Amino acid sequence: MNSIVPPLLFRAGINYLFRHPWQLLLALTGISMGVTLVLAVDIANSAAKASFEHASEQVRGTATHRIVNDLDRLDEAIYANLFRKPGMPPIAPVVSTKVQIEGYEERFQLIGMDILAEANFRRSLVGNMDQMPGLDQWLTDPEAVMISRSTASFLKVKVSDRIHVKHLGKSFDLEVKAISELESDSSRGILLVDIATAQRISDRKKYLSYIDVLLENHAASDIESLLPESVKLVDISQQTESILGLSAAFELNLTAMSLLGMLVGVFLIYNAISFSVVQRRNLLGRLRSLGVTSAQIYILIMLEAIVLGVLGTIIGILLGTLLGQQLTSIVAATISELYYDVNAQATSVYPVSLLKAGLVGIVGTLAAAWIPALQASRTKPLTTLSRAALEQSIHRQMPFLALAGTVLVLTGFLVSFLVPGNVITGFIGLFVIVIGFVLTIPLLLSRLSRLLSTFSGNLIWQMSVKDLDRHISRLATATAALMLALSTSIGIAIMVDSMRVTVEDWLADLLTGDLYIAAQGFEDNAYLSAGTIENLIDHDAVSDYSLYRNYKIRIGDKKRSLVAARLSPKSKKGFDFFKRI
Amino acid sequence: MLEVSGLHKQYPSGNDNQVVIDDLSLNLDKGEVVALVGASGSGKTTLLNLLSGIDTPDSGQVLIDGVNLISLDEKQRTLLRRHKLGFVFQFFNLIPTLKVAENIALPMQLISTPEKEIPGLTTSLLDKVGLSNMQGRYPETLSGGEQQRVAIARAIAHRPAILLADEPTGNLDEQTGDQIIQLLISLAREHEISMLLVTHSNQVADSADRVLRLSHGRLC
Repeated sequence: MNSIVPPLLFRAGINYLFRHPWQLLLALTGISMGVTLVLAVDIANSAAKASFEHASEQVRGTATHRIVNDLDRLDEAIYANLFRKPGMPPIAPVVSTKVQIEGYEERFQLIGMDILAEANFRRSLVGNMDQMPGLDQWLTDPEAVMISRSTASFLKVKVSDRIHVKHLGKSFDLEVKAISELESDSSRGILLVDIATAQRISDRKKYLSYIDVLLENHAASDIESLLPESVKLVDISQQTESILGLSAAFELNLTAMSLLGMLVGVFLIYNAISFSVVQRRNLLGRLRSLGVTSAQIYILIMLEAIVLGVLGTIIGILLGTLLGQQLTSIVAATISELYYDVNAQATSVYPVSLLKAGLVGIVGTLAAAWIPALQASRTKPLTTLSRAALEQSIHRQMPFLALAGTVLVLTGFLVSFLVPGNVITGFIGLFVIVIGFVLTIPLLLSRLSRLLSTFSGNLIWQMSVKDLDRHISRLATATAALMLALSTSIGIAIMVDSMRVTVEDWLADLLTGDLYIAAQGFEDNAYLSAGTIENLIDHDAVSDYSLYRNYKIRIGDKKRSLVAARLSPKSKKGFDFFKRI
Repeated sequence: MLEVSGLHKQYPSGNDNQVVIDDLSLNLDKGEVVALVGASGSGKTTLLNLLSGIDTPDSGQVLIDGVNLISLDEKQRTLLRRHKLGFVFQFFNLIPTLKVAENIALPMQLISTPEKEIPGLTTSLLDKVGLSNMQGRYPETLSGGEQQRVAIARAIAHRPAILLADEPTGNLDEQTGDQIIQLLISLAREHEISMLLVTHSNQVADSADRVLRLSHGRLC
């Protein structure tokens, strides 16, 4: 740096930044805001994904494949047949279901295992269970449950305590017989029971959820040839990736929103640096006349930007880490609600997330500083002393900027609409449109200034209006930043409102009854008994009714709801396809 | 040291061109102090800009130590300014974010003076301008006369061949102005620096070896 920018020149620049605390604050706010958003979203996304992967790994253990059917209801005879076949790879039956624990809103994963078949599989879950006190009762006691240390802390229970589990509207008592040393968040919420206990609780007598398989030296076809037609062997890692893929669009949305926040930040940085350059025109002119080259001025401004970028990025990383921890539980809750169950807390920040946030902060700052640095360096010493020269230069560039902006806006629309349904191209198109609009702002402001000057007004009005045109370089940037922030807020508000209105309309059509009665756990296929339904229908207060039966089935890798309904005439309005029949 | 011949500069003014420097020629010998006087708008500042390579003439040539300034590109002119020229401005133009000693040291760093030599040279210059006890202060805490002394020390810190002084006393009271002029001239002579001193004041001009009068872009 010594030969490129003398230390005293660098110090002069840095001292300037710290002598103007409000400009410094604006620039640091811009950088740290962007970095905070990008890091927080990345932490949340990564934590949710990692937690799901970790939980999946724990539950699947060393299994490479899984025998499943579309109903998650395998006849246990399939396991028995495979087990008896000589030369079979290691297999383990599993019954898995979601249960609720009294006093908690969360749903817990109840996993039933055959401890004798587990030796080859879930060592991380069962660990040294054979040495745990009280485990000898695990096989014989139908109420025995083993939980992890993290689950025990969460439930505030210890060995011999009882927990009350609910499933499909029925209650079951379980006694904590052992607590494993697992403390990860992903192991929180897992209840391990004997397979018979799980079958009893989940109403799957003689049925399994799936069979885990460890295919090492065997071909998949060895097993596939032995399976009934409705049962298939799937690769677990592919299944996990496929499930994770479900939330990809949601995560992309969050990332794009955070990048939009970074874009607003970039405009704030640009504004602060541009203002500092404009304010220092005289000083830069002095330096140029002392023999400081234009390249040195350029590097000086960029070095100042790097200092700002590093400071802002450090602040952003600290804030982003805090926000990320808050955001993780919200993102995990949303993912659980919409896609797959995940129980995540951001206890650690991944180096990749930090690297991404750091890059975004530094690159964003350098990108924002690039134009002001170029403007400062390209101006000759004589004109460096004159602010008007910059404005003249901006005025000359305005038509070209506007033209380029218009082309970008059109390109953005084309990109967005030529590839319908593609989220990534949609966001690329959106960013191109935003940048395009920003480029048109200097010309629009100038024209607006001229239009406003045609209205008669007092001297203050005329001065203010003319000032718009005279300081276009600074005002255009501020306007762009404001426009971007405002349009983002309005865009998100419209999106959320339109979704809300759509859901409200849909619910208004769908929910025409006064009362809705369902069995507890109806999301997991629980249903009311026929007797209960008859009693309700026969009640004097019931004038009309609709009946629904919801059943979750698996089609391919995705779960779908199969709904059978007997609808009252009013309720039919809620189902659009009736109108088309 | 400085040879100027046939220098011409005009600027657009409405539909016409206004001639600011008209076929101007002048010479400055080594260590010579020349005063340039003239009314406002006579072209003094434009001439300084042309001599320093900050502005380019429409025609003519400016030779500094035998190098034709007009034939150089922008970067070469900047480097020539860095090594060969020193400036003293009316409004001092110090770097407000650097301390007094740092302001003086900056031109030395720019010409890559060895770092270990810079503190000694700076102290020596501060002694010469009578500010040895103010090296750690920022310019804004100094009086006008003190700031101009710092500017003079900065202007000669890198041992330039030519010193261009644009109304160096224009922003000072008469007594301080006299002191500054005496300091400038004595330092220029001590270091054998050629100086072109632009001034309104005949009294200031009388201190120079030679006086040039500029009127409507021509020397008379």
